[in-house]
Amino acid sequence: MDQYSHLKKLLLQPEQEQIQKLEAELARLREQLADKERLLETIKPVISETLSQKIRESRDEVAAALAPVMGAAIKKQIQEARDEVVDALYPVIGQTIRKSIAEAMKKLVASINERLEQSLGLRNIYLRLKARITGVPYEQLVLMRALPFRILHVYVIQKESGVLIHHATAPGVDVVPDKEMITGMLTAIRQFASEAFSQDQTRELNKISYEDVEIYLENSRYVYLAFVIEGVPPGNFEEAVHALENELHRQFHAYFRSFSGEEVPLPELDTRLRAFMDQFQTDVPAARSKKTPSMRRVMAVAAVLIGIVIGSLVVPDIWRDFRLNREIEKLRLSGQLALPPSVELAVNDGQLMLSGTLNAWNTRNDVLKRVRRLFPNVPVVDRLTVKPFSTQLQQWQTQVQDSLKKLGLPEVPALRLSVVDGAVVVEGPVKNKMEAMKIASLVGKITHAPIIVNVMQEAAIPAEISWINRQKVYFAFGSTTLSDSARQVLREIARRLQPLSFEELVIYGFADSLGTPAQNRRMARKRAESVRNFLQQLGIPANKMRIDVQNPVDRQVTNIAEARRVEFRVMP
Amino acid sequence: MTTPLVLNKKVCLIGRFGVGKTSLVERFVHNRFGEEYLTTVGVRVSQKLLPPLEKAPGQVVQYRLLIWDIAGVEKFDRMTATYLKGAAGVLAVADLTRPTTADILELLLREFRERNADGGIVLLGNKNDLTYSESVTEILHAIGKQFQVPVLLTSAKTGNNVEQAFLKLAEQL
Repeated sequence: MDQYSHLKKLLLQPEQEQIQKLEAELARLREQLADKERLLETIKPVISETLSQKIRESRDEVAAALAPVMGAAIKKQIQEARDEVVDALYPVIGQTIRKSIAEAMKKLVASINERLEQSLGLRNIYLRLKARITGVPYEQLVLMRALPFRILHVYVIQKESGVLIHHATAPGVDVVPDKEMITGMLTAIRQFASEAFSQDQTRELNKISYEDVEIYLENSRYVYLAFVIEGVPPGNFEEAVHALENELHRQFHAYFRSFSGEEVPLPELDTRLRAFMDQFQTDVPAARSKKTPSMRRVMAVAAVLIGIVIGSLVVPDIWRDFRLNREIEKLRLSGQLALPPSVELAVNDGQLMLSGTLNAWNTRNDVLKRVRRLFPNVPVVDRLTVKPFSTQLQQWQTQVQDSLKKLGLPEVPALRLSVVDGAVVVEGPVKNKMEAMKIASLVGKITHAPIIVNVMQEAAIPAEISWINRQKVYFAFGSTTLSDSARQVLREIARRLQPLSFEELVIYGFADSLGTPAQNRRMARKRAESVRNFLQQLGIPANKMRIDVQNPVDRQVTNIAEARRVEFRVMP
Repeated sequence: MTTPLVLNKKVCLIGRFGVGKTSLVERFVHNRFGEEYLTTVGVRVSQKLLPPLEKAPGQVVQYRLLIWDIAGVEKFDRMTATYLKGAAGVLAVADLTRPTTADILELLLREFRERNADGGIVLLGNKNDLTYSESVTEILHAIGKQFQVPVLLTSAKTGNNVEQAFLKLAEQL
């Protein structure tokens, strides 16, 4: 090493050592920057402290600044990695849901416990007795009391128009304003569902859920019923709804059919709806409050007093039900109360409960009548149902044909019975309207169906009869004398009538409108008589002809000469 | 004065899209369901209690109209037929500024009359606050003559003839 270099080394060594140190530090920092995890580790406490301070100072500003960025980032993250996001959120959300369910279960258990505690007293004895008498399991009765169920509103709505016929609200429930509009909209939704989701429009919407309220819809022939309910409906609710629908149809079908929007009080319908609502009313348990020892003493005394009062109320009830049951047994044994095997008769809260399914309406009516006659002072709750008509159609059809024979009426081989919306429809060709009415009345007697739809049509009229029915015989002004052309028409009518088998020939007489009503009627009759006498001369029996001058002036006729005439109708 | 008998009657508003049916109802009543029903179910029901009306000497009635505003129809489909069931009357609406909206009314009214021969009908030419061609009113009057029903020109915007249209329909119920 030369002297210059040695001198340089001596003079610059401290600086060079400094530069080497700095280069090493720089390399370490570069490495740290490249390693993100280490960098984060380093700056985390600083950023965290700064952010905390900023949030403390101006929370809203930070939120406003971050919201768009965070929102977009979260949205992107969900789009790109949905599963990961779900996995990340699951523990938090899952826990919240579990907590809510646990809360609800806790409330339910508390409610059941409360009921069971209450049940240790006289009520327990009553419930056990009730369970024995009605056959409903004791546990079910307790549970029913623990899960309050209420019918809040019942609407009776005209089926197609959605017009409200009647509405009943449970006591203590706010009356719904604009209920007419609500039932209209409900009907629109129902019709929409039927059109949109049912291929043949025979299926109906029967339940709508809205938060903790449900709307049950029960279809009937002219109306539908909407029950707004809260809580868990008991097992027999739907069955009871069907029975109510049946009962309302039987009792009010004529009113429902002719309803044209009138807003009038319907006390009978109202009473029935309210009774139905009461039948399912359970009391809501009140929230338990913390009681002080002195309060407990007061409560204990009150409980004893209430117990005495309830006892005095409940014991007679139990005694009354017991006596009713004994009476039923006595009547059964003596044969006075012989009910079909499918019918059950039970006693519940002083009422007789009739339930079961029967084959025909008349049997159902007989059973009801018999029970009401034997127990005139006891209310009877009718839960009897009748097997669908469709299962009995063939049998009825044969019965109708047999009855026609017995009555001496001609058989109608093409007679067809069917069931539409609970009504029996009678179809087939008949001779005339009278025959159609006779057959429909017979079907009513045999089926005992509440509604018979008569769509029987008169069979095609033979060409000869049709020709006679089209004929008209004209007369001159003020005349009742038959002209030559009139005689010619009448001869042809007689010729065609001779071989025919017919009930009678109706001869309608007419006059023009120029005279007084009495004169016109007299003139119309004389013209019809001229025709009848001439036809009689031609061999048509007088007892097969009838004169009709009920409407002697036909005001539809524009040419007055055509008003002076006689017309015919052959009744086959 | 005797208390009038209140009669609830379903009436429908029919016509093509955008003729102003909903605006007419908005103008006539304020008591209504939300607009979303119209797009979801295709119908929105509103109600309006009309003033008492002497139908016959000594017979005073008061109509509560349950107005079914049916979403615009381009043809008479099954859904329209269902919604028209049980209707006591219809207001058939055309847009005076669009002649094509009047043509369809003949078909709609024929279908309605087939289902309800006694049903009330009033024909409306709406948006008479705008400039329009006489040809639309001619079509409306021709349909009105064919069905023997009144024709009114209305404006939901200014309220012109709106109330009269509903009252005219009530007279026929």
